[in-house]
Amino acid sequence: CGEYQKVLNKGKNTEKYQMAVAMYEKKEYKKAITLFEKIMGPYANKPQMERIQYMISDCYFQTENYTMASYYFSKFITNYPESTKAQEAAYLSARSYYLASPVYSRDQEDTYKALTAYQDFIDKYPNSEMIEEANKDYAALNRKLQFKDFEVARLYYHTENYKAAIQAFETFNEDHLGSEFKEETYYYSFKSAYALGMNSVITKKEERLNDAIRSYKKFQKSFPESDRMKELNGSYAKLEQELMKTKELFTTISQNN
Amino acid sequence: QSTPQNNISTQDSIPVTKPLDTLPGTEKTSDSIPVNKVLDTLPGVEQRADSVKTPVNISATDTIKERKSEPIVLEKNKKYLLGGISVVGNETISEQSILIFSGLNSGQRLKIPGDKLSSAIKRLWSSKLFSNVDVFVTKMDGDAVYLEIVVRELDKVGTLTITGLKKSKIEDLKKEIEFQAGSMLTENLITTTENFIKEKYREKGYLKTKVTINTKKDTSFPNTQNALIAIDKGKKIKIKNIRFYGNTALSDKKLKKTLKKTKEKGITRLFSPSKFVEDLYDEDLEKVVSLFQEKGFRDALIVKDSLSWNDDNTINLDIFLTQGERYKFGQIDFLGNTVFTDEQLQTILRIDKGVTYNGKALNERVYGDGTPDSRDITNTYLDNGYLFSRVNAVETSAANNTIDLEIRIIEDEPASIRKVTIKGNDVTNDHVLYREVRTKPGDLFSKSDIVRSIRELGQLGFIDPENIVPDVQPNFADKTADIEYSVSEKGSSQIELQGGYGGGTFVGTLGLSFNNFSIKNIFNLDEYKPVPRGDGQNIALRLQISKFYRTYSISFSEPWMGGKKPKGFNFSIYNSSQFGYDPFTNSVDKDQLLDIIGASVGLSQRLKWPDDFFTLSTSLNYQRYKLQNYNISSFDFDNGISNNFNFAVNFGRSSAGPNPVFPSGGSQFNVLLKVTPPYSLFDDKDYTDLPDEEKYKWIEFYKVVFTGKWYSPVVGKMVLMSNAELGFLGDYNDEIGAPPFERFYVGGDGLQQGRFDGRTTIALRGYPNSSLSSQTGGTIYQKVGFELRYPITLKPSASIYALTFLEGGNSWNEFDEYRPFTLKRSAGGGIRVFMPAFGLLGVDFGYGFDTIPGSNNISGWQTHFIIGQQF
Repeated sequence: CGEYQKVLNKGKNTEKYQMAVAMYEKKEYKKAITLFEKIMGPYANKPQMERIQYMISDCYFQTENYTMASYYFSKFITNYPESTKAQEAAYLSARSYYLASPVYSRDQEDTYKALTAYQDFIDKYPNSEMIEEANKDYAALNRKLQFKDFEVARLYYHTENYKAAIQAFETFNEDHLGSEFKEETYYYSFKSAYALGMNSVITKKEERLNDAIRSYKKFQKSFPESDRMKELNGSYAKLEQELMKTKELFTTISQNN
Repeated sequence: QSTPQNNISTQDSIPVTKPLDTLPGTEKTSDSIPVNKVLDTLPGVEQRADSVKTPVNISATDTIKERKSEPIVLEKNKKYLLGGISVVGNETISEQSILIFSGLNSGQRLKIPGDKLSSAIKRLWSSKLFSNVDVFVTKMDGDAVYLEIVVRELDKVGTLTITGLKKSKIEDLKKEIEFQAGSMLTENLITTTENFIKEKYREKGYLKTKVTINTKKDTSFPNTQNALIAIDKGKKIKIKNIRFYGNTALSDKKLKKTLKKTKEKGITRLFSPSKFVEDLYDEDLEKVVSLFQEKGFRDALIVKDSLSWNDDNTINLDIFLTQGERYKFGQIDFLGNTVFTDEQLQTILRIDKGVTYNGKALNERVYGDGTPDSRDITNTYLDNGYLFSRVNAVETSAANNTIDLEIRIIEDEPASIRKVTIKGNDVTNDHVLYREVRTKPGDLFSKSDIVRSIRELGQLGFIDPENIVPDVQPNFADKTADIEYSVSEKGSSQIELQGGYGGGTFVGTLGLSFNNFSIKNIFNLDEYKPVPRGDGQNIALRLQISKFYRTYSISFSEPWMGGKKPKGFNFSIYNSSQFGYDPFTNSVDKDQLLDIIGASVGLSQRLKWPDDFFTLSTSLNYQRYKLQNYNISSFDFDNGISNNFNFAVNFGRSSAGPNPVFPSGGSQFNVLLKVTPPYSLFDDKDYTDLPDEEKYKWIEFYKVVFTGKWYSPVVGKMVLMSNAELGFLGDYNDEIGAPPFERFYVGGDGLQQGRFDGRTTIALRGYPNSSLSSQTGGTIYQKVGFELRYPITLKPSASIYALTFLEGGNSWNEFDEYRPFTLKRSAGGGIRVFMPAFGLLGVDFGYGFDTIPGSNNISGWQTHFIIGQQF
């Protein structure tokens, strides 16, 4: 360790380089990173740079600093597209973005970057043995983005912004064709239309109840086998009942006038 | 796992090596280049680095001559096989790197000349490492060609010396310029650096700044030149005279005032010194023109302006203008409006036939003045969903100096919002932000909703209000719009460490406040960065210690309980211990103890009625007072327990704003009602003769406090804050009377000294702390005040304002004694500094005109230090 400090503080660049490689091989990634960062400048235009960039990328990957790892790996593949390590780096770059991508409820910039990186990898190395993994991660990232949009739409439902919820679920299905959330979007869309109709002011009630009935029929047509049909049938009966009452009320009012 | 070292050193990825390897002895010139040497040493990386340093003895011109002697005939449009590439002339940059930069690989096929070759040369040039790049064909072997890249490396900057400025300025400048030790010494770098420095000093008024950059070869390093930047900024050039020609309608004085950044020199010019900066001068000239246009001179024009030098290194500015004729507004017609009537649009335009033409007002009222609250025709349409509308003011006639106008409107269909997204929230969870956004999918597009969303996101406290950028993506085809808000988060956790002098002793406070907490993740270790954040909750820990008391508290609040509606929930518990203290001898007696434990649970919500500035909060509070040999003058027992269980309702309205630190308009008022159950009505005890410890075992009272503040602009930026307060503490049972708790203490800085007995301290400057109430506190108080405030600076980093005040207040022990017009008056002034990291700090000097109770002297001058609170 004393040797490491000595080289770090006073060593020549070549010594630092050798020490960094040694540390990397000993899996002392953090120490290796410190040394690599110091020699990146002096080795900027030297042939060793190819190895340095790969190793520092891997160090960051191994220390689970995926933001830095993704940055260095993608830099590596731009600088050394012909390297024998290029394929591995392309995969690890995508994988780093994948691992850096946060939970769905936060900013998804890294998710988009991961999707692009995986797409590039899949296009460039269609025969790689990592293809299956890549496709799996790609699908997971896509699902995350869908889930994000779905949760935002459901938030509108939850905060009783039913009109916003209906629009958001509709937009969701435009943006994500054939999504696995389709049934749920139809379900919540109906629930929103139902709440909107049942609690509507009298002037708009008939129209909104009819909207809710249409929403019910849409669900019924698309998912007749769904477990949710029982609940929806119950709501539908109430809608019909309410619609009848509303119409009667309107007749009474217009007769009185 | 195999390490890349093995892989890279044994691989063939470095392109030149392979073909050269397989080639038999190549021609003479390639031998002289140390390519083979590099090849030999390839496996050992370190040696390779050494070999790069080996100097090349061939100069570019030599090789060119040699080349010319060999007749090589190239066929056009033939794709040759690239047999090998060598590099000549490189000194510090390795051959490998140059080949990588070039993008050429041996083994590939290319036309000579051709695209690939020219882009390779272009790439080498664009690396900015070379002053010259040439490519030669050195040999042809059937289908294969061999190339040689001849480069001349640029020199680098070795050491950099700057002269002619103060040491600290030199340090600053070194950070600003691109000219750095190690930069490539290009012509361009020298010119841009020269211009940058000149421009920098010209902007400060040094018009005659001279910059010379000299470089000199550094003999100890290859390709390095040391640089000397000599700066002679000369004298600051001031403006002696500004002269206008051709203006009759507006005076020279008025026009000079319009030149905001270009001023004549003068002794009184302290804050805006006279200097000449061309860009600012040009902007100022535009202001002169627009001033004429505001006054009806639509055709006003600056014909010429000239700069002349005086002998004393000052300049004169001569501005020649023609002001043209004065115009009036004529007939104004609205065309194409169906949503709004002519009358409605006219109330926005506010321009009548016959008034003097004012181009500026016309523009602002048709197209907007650039502020978010602009009231104009374009924005009126945008606020009502008409995103695709277009409004144009067209002059139809200018006869007889009268401008007839047509306001042509294409309304189009209203646009609805299709999708709303937020990006940039790396910490905060979506739901915390989306629920605050007013633009919801399905709604009609509204610009004012966007403005309000930005304001409300900014008020969360953990989103930077200055950096919320809405991006509207209109979709003409289906008349919808997508809105994306980019936000950036700011540090919201605060550590508060305060020391202050209060109650005759030092008071230390340590507070930790996490403003965007996530209670849900409290057991999720991955979320500790360094505390779990992102759900918009607030958790605060506070510890306050002085010589004779200690307070600990913890509080938690959730602004959207259940996530459905903006109903806030808060919860707090605290403990405070107070020991006997003698302020005269400054000694503490730990045998005397007053221990208070308290807890409170509250709900608060924004109301929609009467308007949405109202808030209603309710809370249940409990305090338990335990006395141990502790003497409180207002009651007879020294040992015992007293319980205060009450229900409080606070009804408030706040429209003060827009700046929370320095509100310039609106008002704030609050009604607080606090009640305990009327225990004495239900038990049949006779309280007349009961000792205090029995009387106050479960204390009973009701308390009403009204406070109101009004902010009104006076002149310019000056704001008048008027304030009125009234409080009353009543009892249910005359036999018990008002309890010794929860009383009012008027006077002084109003800083709350611990949570001793639920007391309310009311600031009244010009009098010592709590001096206007009896020792046991009052049951009624009243206060009125006026404060004139003037902002010195309102930057987000630090807001400073000065104030003068006139106020009066008093407290009374019994309702019978209440005299609303016998107030203790005071006046004075002070200053406030608000910095986000420290909160509000300030000092006030107040003169009390009236006597302090219990003394015959008038109060006189008092100094008050203000920490963290408003008056």
